[in-house]
Amino acid sequence: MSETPDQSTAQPPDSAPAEPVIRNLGLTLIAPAGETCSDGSC
Amino acid sequence: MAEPIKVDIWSDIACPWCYIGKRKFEDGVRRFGGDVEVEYHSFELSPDTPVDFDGSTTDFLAERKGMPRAQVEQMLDHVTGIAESVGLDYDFDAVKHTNTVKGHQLIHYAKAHGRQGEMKERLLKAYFEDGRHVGRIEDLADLAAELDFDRDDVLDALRNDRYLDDVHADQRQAVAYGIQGVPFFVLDGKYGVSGAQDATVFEGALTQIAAEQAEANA
Repeated sequence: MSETPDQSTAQPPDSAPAEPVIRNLGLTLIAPAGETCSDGSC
Repeated sequence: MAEPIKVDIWSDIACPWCYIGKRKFEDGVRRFGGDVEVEYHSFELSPDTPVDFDGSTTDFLAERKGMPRAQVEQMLDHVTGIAESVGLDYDFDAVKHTNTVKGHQLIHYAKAHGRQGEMKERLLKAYFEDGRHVGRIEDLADLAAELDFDRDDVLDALRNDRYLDDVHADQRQAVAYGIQGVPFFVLDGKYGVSGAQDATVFEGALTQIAAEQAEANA
């Protein structure tokens, strides 16, 4: 719902090759999600 | 002596739960009592927001995001009440709704000068409590000057997008972690806490990590 850039298309400025980004870094979530803001909703 | 526990926090400036979550996290750190190193990271909730949006937060959410006005007003009233409970005096009637990418660059500028936390707090307060504009370069430079930063250097940094790459790097990392809402806390590089949780959640998580580190170092 948020509007962070799509990793598959995001490019650093000056058309440099995108740095490799590791997907699914496997964070262990502590506690159910609390109150957050995403695109247009809080 | 134990190493500080690193906490990386993704948040936006125009994010009411982020400021509330900051207060709750800080309370959790106080309760924990150990050494914690905090680094803030950029997350833009609405990068399509114009710098000079002519209207209130309610106008923006109703007109641009299609939310019913009554629902927006109820949401903001609810958030204002929660903010008050943690000592924050939100004033949505005075908020200058704007784009936050330059504000994020200013937070990175402050980080480069070893004062990131101070700037993060100032911009959140400026936006939610003081009715200050945090999108225009000149206004951001004024805020920075109030903290005794070099106003001319701040203007140059913001005009030339000196820290835009750092903002984008934070955003890529958020995508990699799968972060979809903020605030989002990454503790010790391996535990995630989503949202403005109670202070006891942060206290418990930090205590658990400290115990794990002590065991690993025994």
